[in-house]
Amino acid sequence: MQVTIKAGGAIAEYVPGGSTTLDVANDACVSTVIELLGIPSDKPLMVIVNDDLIPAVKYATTLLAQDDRLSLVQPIQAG
Amino acid sequence: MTWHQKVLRVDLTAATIKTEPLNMEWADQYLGSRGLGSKYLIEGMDPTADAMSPENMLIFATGPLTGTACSTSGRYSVVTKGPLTNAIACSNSGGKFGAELKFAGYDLLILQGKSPTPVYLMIQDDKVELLPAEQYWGTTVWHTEETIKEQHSDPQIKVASIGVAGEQGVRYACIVNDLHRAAGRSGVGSVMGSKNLKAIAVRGTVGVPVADIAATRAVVKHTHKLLEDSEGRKQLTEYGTNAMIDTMNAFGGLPTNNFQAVSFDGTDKINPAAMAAIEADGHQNLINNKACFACTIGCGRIAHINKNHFSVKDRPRYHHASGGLEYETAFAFGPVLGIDDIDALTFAGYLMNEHGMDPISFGVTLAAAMELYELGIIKLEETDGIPLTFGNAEALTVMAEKTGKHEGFGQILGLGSKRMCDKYGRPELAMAVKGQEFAGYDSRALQGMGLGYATSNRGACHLKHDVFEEDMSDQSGKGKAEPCKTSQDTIAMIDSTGLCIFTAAAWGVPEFQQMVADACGDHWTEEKLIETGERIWNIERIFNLRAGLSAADDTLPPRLLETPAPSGVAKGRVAELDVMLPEYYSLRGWTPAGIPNAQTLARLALTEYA
Amino acid sequence: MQTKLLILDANLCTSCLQCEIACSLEHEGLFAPAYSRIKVFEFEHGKRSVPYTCTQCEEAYCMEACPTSAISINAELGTKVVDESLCVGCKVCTVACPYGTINFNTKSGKVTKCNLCDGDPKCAGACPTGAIIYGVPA
Repeated sequence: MQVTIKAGGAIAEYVPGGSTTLDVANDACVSTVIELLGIPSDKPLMVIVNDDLIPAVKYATTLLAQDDRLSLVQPIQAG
Repeated sequence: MTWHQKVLRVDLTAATIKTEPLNMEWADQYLGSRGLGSKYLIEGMDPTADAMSPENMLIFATGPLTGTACSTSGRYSVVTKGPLTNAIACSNSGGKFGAELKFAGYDLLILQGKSPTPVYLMIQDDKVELLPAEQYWGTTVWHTEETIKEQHSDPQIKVASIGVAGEQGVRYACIVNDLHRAAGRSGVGSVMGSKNLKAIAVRGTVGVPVADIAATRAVVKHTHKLLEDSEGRKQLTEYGTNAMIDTMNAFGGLPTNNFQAVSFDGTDKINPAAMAAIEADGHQNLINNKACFACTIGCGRIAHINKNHFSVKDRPRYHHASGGLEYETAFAFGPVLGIDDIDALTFAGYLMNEHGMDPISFGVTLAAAMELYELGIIKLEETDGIPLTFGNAEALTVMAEKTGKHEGFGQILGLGSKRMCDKYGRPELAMAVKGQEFAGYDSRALQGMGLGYATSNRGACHLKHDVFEEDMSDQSGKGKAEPCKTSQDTIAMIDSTGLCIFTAAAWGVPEFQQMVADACGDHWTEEKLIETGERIWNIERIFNLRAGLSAADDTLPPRLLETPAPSGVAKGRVAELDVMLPEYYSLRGWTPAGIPNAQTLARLALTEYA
Repeated sequence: MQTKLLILDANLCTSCLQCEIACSLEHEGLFAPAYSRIKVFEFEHGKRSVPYTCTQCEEAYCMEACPTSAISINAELGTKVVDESLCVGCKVCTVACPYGTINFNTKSGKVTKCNLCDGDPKCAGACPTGAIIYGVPA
């Protein structure tokens, strides 16, 4: 199945151009995408799937569906 | 001790200049900068006085750490009654001006009255003069700053000045120092203009004393290392504050089209990646990073506008480099107006600095005007022939300049969103609290931010509390009152040291305690710092209550309280102020009417204000 | 061994002036950039910020010009050093220096210049971006 990825800030380094479409297996979860993109596990990260914020503890258990929209950004606290 | 124990007091009506000892008892209760300025303000003026009248006081306050080797020590506060809000205003600025004022030998500069003719204040250590400013009146900040340096043949002079916006009473005019740093919010520039004071120029060679060099070096070394190593610092250095735009957009907290939407399709064109990208014709928006005095972070950006862009094509005077986009300018000229033209945004930023205006208030006021225009309430005949439609980059650049020069429809925009929307009979379209416009965070997606906006003593502001962590992990209003209150007190303390709140990325109360104790004495414990922060928050509140504000002003516009977020992680939610505010009042030790109760006043040694 | 020098890279300078603060603390015992031996000059609204101090040049016109022989060479560091007890504050050296990096100090009535803090330049230690490095030029 296909999911779309949009990355921002420092996370864009792992997604050339800032956005892409990924082909993943039907049992793929959020962790699958993070690993596929090569984002190190210690990188500060915020993941939003469609309109839901996914806590880090649920990356391995949050299954993806066809056409899901994933946003991967930094959790910034100043601006 | 890093205090000079010296206040410079200027009566502009009588044209007298005096020095007086700093009230050290007050310094011991209010620390410095924001806190100490607030104490001098409430003691020195009637809070009900009109903000633009000679009775208002204008205080430039440094902190005990301003001008020291502590990182980010360039900061000062302008404390006055704000003409945008009729509440206490404390606008904080970086750059080099604040440190220079301290180096000239003054802790505070207090201006009162009104000069009969335009003047500027020239401070060269002990030599302080009010000089005629007719030749500068009616000119820009940039012209004023550069010409004063030339006239005095000293490029090292630091200048804080206003543009025509401040002279003409634009409600959100700011005071700009060092060309592109500003005491930005609440209209402090118009207070300066109302006093016929065009500029303050400072050259200081007295310096700041150091009691124990070895001890100071040790504290500075330790705190610098923590800051240098922190992840938050690294992000700010590398991407600037505008890194936030991708995060807020993904989160669904990025106010778009006057807060009708919470995410924006065009962020890719105005984010840090876009700033750094090389365009087809070889132009690159971003040039380099720029730091304020003593700053290890350097979140500031220097940029330039593409010479072929419509806004500057025939105007070579704007082809030079200057201050580039920060998150708040990117938000206020971008998403909230539906505009994704990076050169138009950058140019609008130039115009804000050149003419001396707060970009947040200008942008959000223009957003309200665009909504009124699209509703057919504001007509093309009124807008000097410029269609005020969302997404129109020309409307942004033309109206920014007209507002700065106080011309045409710019005079209406200069009222700020509240007064403008009142005038058109649609007060609910003003995205503001106490008359001051929101920054780039939607209160439905960030509930603690919403509570902070509603209760900030200077009207809507994102800088007086820090609930990001809690807001990003939980989208309800539950449990937000406590971190909001606690962070408000901590930030009031940080703002009063003379350092920048961005250092909180690495430093907590223990680090600030080490630096303040080194500068002011070991009796400054962590407990005393926290209590001082709370005292400062309450004295600001007391000023506002005396000025006529009440709990009814601690609210948010109906769009945020009643219309659910259309998308994002908080989709379907409204701002839960009804849950948060009573809890907040109770935590503060305030009555349900938002008034500090007798125990709170006693606990904070504020009983004289009962 | 080649002599170590201050290597100044304007491309990395953010104009934070931590070098000037550190310099004034070391030499004046207070925070007063006005008395710093290293200066940062800013151009075009901060487009470029350039740190600048004595290059410890071999010719050392300041030393040649001094009528009281108050300036001498520290052979180990290659620095030209002012002996304040000999300096009479005539300022001839400030005119002789083509770089403007030896200056009259109104407080002391003597001239001051960079002496590389006797081999541990505090400006380099304070610089957060690597714009000032104490080392052997490549």
